[in-house]
Amino acid sequence: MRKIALVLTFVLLWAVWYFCYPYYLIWLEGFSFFSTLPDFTQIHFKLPQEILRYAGAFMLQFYSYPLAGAFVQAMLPTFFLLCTHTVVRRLFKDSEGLTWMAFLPLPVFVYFQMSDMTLTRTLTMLSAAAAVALTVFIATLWGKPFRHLPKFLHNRYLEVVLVLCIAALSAGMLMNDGSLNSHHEDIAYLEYLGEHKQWDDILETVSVQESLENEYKRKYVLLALSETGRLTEHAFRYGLSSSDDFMFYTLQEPLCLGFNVLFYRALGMNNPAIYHSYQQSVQSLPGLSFDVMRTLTDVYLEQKDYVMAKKYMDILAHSTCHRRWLRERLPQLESIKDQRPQVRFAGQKFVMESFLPDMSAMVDLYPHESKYADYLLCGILAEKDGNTFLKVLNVIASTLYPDGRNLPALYQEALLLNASKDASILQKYHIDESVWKRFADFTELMRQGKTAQAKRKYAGTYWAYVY
Amino acid sequence: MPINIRYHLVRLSLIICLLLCAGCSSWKTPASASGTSPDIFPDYKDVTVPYNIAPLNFMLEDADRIQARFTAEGCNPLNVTGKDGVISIPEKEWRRMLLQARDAEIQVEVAAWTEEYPSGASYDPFMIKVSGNAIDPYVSYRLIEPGYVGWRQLGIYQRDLTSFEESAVVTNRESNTTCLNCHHYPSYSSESMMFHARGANGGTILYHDGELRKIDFKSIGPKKNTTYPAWHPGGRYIAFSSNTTHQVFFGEGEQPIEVFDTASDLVVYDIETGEVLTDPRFMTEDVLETFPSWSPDGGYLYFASFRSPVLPVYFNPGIRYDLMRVSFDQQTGRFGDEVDLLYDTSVRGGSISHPRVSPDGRYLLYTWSEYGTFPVWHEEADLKMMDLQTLEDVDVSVWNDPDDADSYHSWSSDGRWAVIGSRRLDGRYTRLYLAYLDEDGTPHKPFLLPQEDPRHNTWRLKSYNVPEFMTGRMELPKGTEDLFYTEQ
Repeated sequence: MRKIALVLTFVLLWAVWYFCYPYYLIWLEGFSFFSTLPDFTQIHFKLPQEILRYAGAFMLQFYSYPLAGAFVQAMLPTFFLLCTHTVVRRLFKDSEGLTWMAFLPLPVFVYFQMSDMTLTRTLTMLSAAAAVALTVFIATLWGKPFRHLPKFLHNRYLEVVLVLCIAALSAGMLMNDGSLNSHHEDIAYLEYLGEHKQWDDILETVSVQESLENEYKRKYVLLALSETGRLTEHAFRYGLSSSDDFMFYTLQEPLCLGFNVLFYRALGMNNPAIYHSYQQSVQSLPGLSFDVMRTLTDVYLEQKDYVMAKKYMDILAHSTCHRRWLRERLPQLESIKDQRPQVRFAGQKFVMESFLPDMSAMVDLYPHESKYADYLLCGILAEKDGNTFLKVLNVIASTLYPDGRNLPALYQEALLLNASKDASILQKYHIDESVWKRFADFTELMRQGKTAQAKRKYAGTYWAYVY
Repeated sequence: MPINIRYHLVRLSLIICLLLCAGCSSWKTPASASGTSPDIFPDYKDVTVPYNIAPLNFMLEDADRIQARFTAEGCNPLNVTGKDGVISIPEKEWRRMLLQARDAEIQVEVAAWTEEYPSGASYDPFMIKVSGNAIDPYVSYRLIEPGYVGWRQLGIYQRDLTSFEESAVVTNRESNTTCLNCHHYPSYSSESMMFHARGANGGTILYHDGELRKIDFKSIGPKKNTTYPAWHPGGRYIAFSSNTTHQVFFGEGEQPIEVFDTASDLVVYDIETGEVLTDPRFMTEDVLETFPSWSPDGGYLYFASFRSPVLPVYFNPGIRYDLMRVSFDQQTGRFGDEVDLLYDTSVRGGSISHPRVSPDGRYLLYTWSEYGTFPVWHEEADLKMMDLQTLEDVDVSVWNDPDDADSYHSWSSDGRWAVIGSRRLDGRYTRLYLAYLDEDGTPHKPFLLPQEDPRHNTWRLKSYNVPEFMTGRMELPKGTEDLFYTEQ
């Protein structure tokens, strides 16, 4: 019974981790760091006191393969069960049918394991269990203290039922939708898709409703819309309600910084990407993280900064699982060996403030790149600032829409709303026939007091957002 | 397996191991001569080193096998072989050679086996000059990520320059939210120390005369925070600038960060009385004074000063700090009437930071940047030196890197050595260089702080910050860290 129970529990927990949290496991690896370099043990760890944290950092390296990560996550409670089972077996002369007793602390172990990002807590519990098991083992070498328990407690059926219940409870706790792990898994998946530039997959994964309700997911969706050139089409449908929706300003957890790095990399803004990478790094418990090391390597490779790229690659070479990753980048590194580092823009500096001024500065620097213009104009529209929108559009249109035609529908919608204040803008910009018709229908519905119907029918338009 | 066969196998394995070891370390003759100078890292070619410095281990990238022969007059040659292109010099033999080669030179002949030269190639020999001036045995510095907002592990460390030993003086290990900065010692002494601990229970930690205390400057005297310190050579006073510092991040361009002050004044702390002494001339809003530094006799305080009718804008090229000097009476704790302008930026351009007078009082070493008050983020920042007797510039360009920031620096106790924080290796992580100034005032080519493994210079993910020489090893009393974790 004992062996079967252990194997089944292991398989069950492995399956839950592997099938429910594969991207969280990958994310855990990215959030961790391990190196054989002396600084890592001398500065980032206080050894031998922090040996368990160090061991955790070593094990987390393998989480980049969810199969292996789930294996470790399932093995740890299995070892824990082995310890508790040893205790039970050594304490009772007749331990037949008492496997359930060894399973009793399992939910507690799994509960504390769930949000353990460094494995320190898990390994501490496991070490404590091992120490108790060893103590009991030695103490009972000369006799077992408890001889008899009431007979019904040794009942085989009771044993099977209880073991199954406890294992199921533990797995159920892990799978619980509302748990932190689920939240992390969702976001880690989006981050994974973002890092691999699978923008369409992000849009397929996150429903409109989810985007409206979850500010984390909304940010990934808006980024995906921008990267696929559909920001103006769908931004308001997916719940854009403020220029703060585009990125995180309050950095409450490491996941926020991961997004900001992704955001700035997508915008080609390496300075803030590097800055947020460093901030992301110091948020991880060793003060360094694989994810950041890899990001910085790629950023510096892009900038053709051989020295810095090589530095991070050399450091990553002192971990256990980066051989292939490094091999893939070696040709790129070699190709920039004798080149001078390049920054995209070496002229007038601008200070990062908040989203709108930053995008405004980027529009000034890169007037032909519609990505910055769309972010800026969408951000202004999200603030319902019609006057500023008109002024900024006037500047942007001189480069991107010089003849006033082919404006995205969103801008046309905003122009129509503002035309009541200044009709001359309609002479400057062309409004499509279909937009005119829809606007007429929308205003008619509004005039009739059918606001809800109008907003439903024209959900995602700027009109529905404003009213 | 029969015992005799096992015995023979073990013996055979041992012989193979011995042969392999011998093969690895034996001296070989390279097949050709490259006719070039070896591109070693760190660049120790033609540098001047003190006779008590740790071995100058170096490497040749892409080399597999490497060997170096060190020869000096009157010494047996020292042959060192290495793999992975790394030369690790035995400490004992190195020390012996340096002692014998004082005020002379060591010739280094390098040969390497690379992809280009699979049968080995010898390179043109280079020289290492050995100065008869010893360097102070310790340098202390803060190790921190290069700039930005957050931090996790940081601490003040000390390095034994005669070996590779590095140890922590004080760290924030127990509380990662605490920031430690601006450590300082009186006259290179390791008997006293001060540093700031920023955070919930922070304050200025002062260890002096065997007594440890925390001072909250915001609650005494003019109730000003304290920033850059300068411990008076007499030991009684510490001058501080009181800066309101901000940093901004640039969205594009080569310079990622600018740090600037919106206010800064000068105050002097009297350790004996616990009073904070002020002078109204250095407490005004329209003049920003910073980077105080004493003359070796304690008779003058040097500082940088920026006069602005309006508060500065962060990347305004008009922010130029002049170099000033004011006399100081140690008996009364008062500054003299005259304030001398030593470097007028409105005439000579640039901006001055980190003035430090050499222990003999002859030279003043400072950092020059185009503008501003935080040169470490300015690629153009270089060290410059003024002869205080003539107020003329002394050319120390050999100490600088033209492309990257050379910023913080301090003098050794005998004034023959300077430690320089420079970003010349990669543009982002500050590393320490040791530079020699001979008795004639001629600067010599500086060398990177030696490491046991030369690659450690690139592997380290922290910047070296505020390097200061010490004549001994600093041991803070137990419980120092408790001072800034608790409300005591």
